[in-house]
Amino acid sequence: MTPAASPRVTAYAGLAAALLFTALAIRRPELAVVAAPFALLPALGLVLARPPQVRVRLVLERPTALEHDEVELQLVVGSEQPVERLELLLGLPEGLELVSSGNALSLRLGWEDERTVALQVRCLRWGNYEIGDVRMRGRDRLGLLTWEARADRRTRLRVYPLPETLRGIIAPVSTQPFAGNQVARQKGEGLEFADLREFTAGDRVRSINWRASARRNVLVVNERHPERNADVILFLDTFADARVGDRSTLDLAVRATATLASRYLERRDRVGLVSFGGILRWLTPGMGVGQRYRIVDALLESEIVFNYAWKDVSIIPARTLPSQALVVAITPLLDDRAVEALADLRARRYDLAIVEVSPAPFAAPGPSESDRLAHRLWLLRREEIRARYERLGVAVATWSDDQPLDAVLEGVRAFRRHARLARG
Amino acid sequence: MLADDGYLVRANALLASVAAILLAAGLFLRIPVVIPATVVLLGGEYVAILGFETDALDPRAPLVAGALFGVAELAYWSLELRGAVVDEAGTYLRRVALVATLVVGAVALGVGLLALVEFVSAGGPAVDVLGAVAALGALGLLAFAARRTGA
Repeated sequence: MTPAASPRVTAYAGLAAALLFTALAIRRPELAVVAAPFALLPALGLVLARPPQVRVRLVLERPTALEHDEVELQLVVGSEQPVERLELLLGLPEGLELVSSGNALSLRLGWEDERTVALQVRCLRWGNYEIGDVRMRGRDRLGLLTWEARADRRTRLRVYPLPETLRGIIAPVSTQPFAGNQVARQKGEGLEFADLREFTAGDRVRSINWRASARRNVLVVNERHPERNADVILFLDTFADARVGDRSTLDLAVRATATLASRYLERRDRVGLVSFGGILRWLTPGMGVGQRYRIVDALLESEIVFNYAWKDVSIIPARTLPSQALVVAITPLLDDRAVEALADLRARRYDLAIVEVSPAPFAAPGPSESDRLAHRLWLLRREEIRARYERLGVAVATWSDDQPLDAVLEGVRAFRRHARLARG
Repeated sequence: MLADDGYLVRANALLASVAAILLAAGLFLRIPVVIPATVVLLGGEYVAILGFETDALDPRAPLVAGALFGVAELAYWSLELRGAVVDEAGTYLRRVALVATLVVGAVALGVGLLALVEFVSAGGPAVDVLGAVAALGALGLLAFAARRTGA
């Protein structure tokens, strides 16, 4: 621990010296009497002071939490020797805040004492946090000397984004050969009725539709759609975001991506992730709870990294984008590279749907007439980008913070039902 | 006596008021250096009173020492209280007890020193040398504290 003298020591020693010299100069012992406590206290303090030996542990209630959750954090502080006053300051990263008191507190430790301080931490934003930067300041009994130290007891806290409520999702046009919850367009063994056809050798008796056979006087069998799974790629645009205070389009995009990943994985679809931005990150499609955690953990690392290099979809590994996969892009449509990459995906005949996280609420028009004109032009350009995608047969749904994601996805579903251009 | 003179009383009252205002302003603005400055002002007042009054030993010296020491301790405590640190229960009581003990100790030390001076009652170079050594010791302490602060 690094020692330091309190300002009292310097002040008292200076006062004592001044008073003693004055006493000598004017030959009055009363001033020496006045000077005595100012001289004696620092001398005693410096002689008796011993550096404290403090140990600190950090115990986190649980390693994971959801946004807006409260997590208990325990600071366990112990010492062999007494410490008259031990001040503790817990450094919290941005995105976490203490619920009750401040993060600086003081306590007193006795001989072989151990104290536990419980702190409630509120998770304001999703992220991968490291907590445990504890700064300590111990004081001696007279408060004349301080010892400062920094204990690095970092513990990881993963805060997952709060899921949105979704009743329905965007159904993929094409399915894969494995069993799942998506009714395939092909005919085969399944539950959903597809069509009737005449009986042929090899058909099972249980598939005969006896009513239809009686009406037509020929054996007719039911054809059905099989339930299959699908490949879904969540395409997260991390080239740029719009931010006001602690809200940003990236926060919303990550929340939507995590929600969609969970819903598709619940349907036994294979879900992959492409984080397309200054840094390219990807996860090959997979199934199950493990893939869900892999995706959410990858999302927690999402950040905007500025990069001026032109990037297109050719840099994405081929196995990350299987053919016949549904690509759901979550993007603020702010960066031309992302806009062009999505158009390129469509040109490569991917089944594409776009959830546009609107940056408009984050960018209010300026005060002057020219600012307002620029803002209107910017909004018009965004309209033009959306119209371009719609001409390509791609549904674009605009989502902002004040509306439920479910309603936005319903717009996408309606577009895909009526346009029938998803594979155009 | 001159101390009874209205002029000296008014001057002392004025100086004490200046010291009080200086201390209050310093505490409000969180400037620690005003605390020793205030003690110097009040000590200066006492020097003035001693100069104008009598050559005999002043029996109030231990009380003055205790009062000045108490003012300084309370002022430093008030500065510490204005920090953002949340104290656990019982901290204030312990600090009050410490300050009270220190003030009582300062008075007791003063009484003892005054009694010693009365008892020795021998002036001359030996006492001067002792005083000079004590003053130099205080300066040494100052240097030591400055070194610790620098560390």
